[in-house]
Amino acid sequence: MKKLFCLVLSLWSMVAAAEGPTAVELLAASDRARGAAASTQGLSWTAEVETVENGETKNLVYDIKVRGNDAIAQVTSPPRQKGELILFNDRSLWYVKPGIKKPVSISPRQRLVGQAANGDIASTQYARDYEGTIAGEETIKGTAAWKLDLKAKAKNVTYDKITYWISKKEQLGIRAEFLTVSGEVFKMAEVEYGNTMTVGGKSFPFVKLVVIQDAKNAQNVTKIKYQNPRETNNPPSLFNVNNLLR
Amino acid sequence: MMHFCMIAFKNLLRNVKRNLATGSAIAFGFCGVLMLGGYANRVQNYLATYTVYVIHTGHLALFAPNGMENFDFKPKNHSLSPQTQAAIENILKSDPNVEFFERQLWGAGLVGNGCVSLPFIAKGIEPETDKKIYSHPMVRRWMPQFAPILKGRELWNYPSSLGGVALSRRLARGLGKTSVHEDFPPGQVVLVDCASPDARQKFGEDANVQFLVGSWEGSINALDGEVVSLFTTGFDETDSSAIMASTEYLQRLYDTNYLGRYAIWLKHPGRLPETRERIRARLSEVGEKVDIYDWDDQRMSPYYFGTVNFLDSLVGFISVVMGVVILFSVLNSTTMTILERSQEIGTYRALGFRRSQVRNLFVLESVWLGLLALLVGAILGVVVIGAINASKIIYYPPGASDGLQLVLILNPIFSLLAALTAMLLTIAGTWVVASSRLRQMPANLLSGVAR
Repeated sequence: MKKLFCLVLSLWSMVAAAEGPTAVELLAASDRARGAAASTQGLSWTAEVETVENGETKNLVYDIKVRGNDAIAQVTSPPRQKGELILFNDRSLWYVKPGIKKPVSISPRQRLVGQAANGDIASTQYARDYEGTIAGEETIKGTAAWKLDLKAKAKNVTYDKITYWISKKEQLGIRAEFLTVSGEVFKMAEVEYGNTMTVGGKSFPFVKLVVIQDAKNAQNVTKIKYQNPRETNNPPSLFNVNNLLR
Repeated sequence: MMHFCMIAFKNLLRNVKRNLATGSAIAFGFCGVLMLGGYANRVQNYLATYTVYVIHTGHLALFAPNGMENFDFKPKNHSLSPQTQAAIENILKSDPNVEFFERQLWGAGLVGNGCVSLPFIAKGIEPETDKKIYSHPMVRRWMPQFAPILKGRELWNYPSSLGGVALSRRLARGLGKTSVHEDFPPGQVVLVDCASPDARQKFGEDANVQFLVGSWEGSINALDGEVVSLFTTGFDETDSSAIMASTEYLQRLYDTNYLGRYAIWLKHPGRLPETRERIRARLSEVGEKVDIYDWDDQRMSPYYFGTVNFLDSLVGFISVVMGVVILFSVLNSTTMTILERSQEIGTYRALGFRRSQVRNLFVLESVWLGLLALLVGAILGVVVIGAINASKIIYYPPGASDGLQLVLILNPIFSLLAALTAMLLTIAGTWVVASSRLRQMPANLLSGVAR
């Protein structure tokens, strides 16, 4: 009886392994390594954005705080932009500048700096925002990966369509192509993981570098470097738009 | 000659019905052309005034090299630097034909009320120039009812420190800003809880808005604005996104001290080509390269160019039709008259009148007919035009957000040319028919053989 139970269990495991993970599972797993809800208290890190566009280089540093579906990105450098905030309330985005009387509702698609859109700067929530289908398997720079086609679930998300490659072994998003509604690639991203995030004593890989490149002009590149990722206590009031100006 | 004229006039009365029919064709045709010319004259001048003055195009527009084509895409690379601005202003201030000029900037972005953001297209003007335009004789003459401000007061009534802006009416409605600065106590700002059910009502409790743009330095920038007036652009297409602000305000918003262009108004628009070339040459002398466009260049004023071209084609076509109608009426009437009076012609010839004398007699008859018909047509035209103007008919041009009163304004030069053309056609028609008949032998004419 015991042998029979072991046989059934091992057969079931084999079938399950052969079927592989679903697109939703892959997206949820890859989002975790890019700042999506992994802690009930909150996560924080620093994002250094370096953009080269038409031969000009610009740098911006954001202090990012995340809790659940909410995030807040505050500019700490350069000094003339210090204090500017982008608040992510679920899919709604708000921009606040020191001295301004009211927050401004903004679109995640709007260009933030260089190739980075507003929606690129905080955590990635592809599992929440996109309908994914596994389109195949490919090897990206020697890493076996699932190729996923993502289609926006709502209009107010950063991109209409994404082709996303998630590594099979670690289930990390390693490459993305961002597409227009008509299916034309307009920018591409490569993602590297060299950081570690520890939540509740458990550690997992965390994004270290995202390089976003203009599909038509390879010289126009934006690099987002992620530093000092950590679990922090970010109270919900921090993400209330009505508190930003008080 | 005087005697011939009298005979010709009396001959007109010999076949009153036919001459009345021919005269009516000339009179009604001329009346129609006068009305059409009056419509075209008014529309052309209205649009020219609208283009040059009301929308601040100026008679000349001065851009950085390739600025007109590329400013919208790469403003930083195709705009006028402070150094170029100084050189331009120095030259414009000393030019004898420059009435005034304006520093301009424009751009797009989002405007918000604290909860909702909508896209805008802003035009940066100088409020003092706007004030000059409002009272300009050309605007008073061709657009006497010009009043784009629907609520509030013009930008020039407020200090630049207020950050005053004018919103187009549908954009204002979208933001819930139905009241303006002067409706509220100074400095009133109401923070709205966007999730509350009465948020929409609260949007209208202050005149404060926020503008958010991508600055020329490549980052996001935002600025508070105070809605001082609501206006209409006159077109549905732009009434839901247009904003007017001072150029200085837009420079702060886009974080730049550069300009998009200069608009230049001339004292004598007829001397535009030489003024343009003089400004270009003087700027070239100081090492500044610029692009200068005339106001009626298709690239500068596509709406004006397209509408006026269409109107010119329409007027031209209808005038040709009217001309053909007049010509055929005259040919028909003269042919009948000459056929009937063949024996009379033969008698004149037999008495020793030369062909040219007999032909001139018929031509003089047509001249009388033409003059009388044109006089009647002119009187009829003036009466009908007066009646149309007095009845205040409103029509809706394509794309216009408001109706426009149908006003016809006679164009003296066009009217004179139309009268001359009608006269020439009348004379030519008679000349051709009479000459053809006069080639016949007098004996044949007398005997009635020539038919």
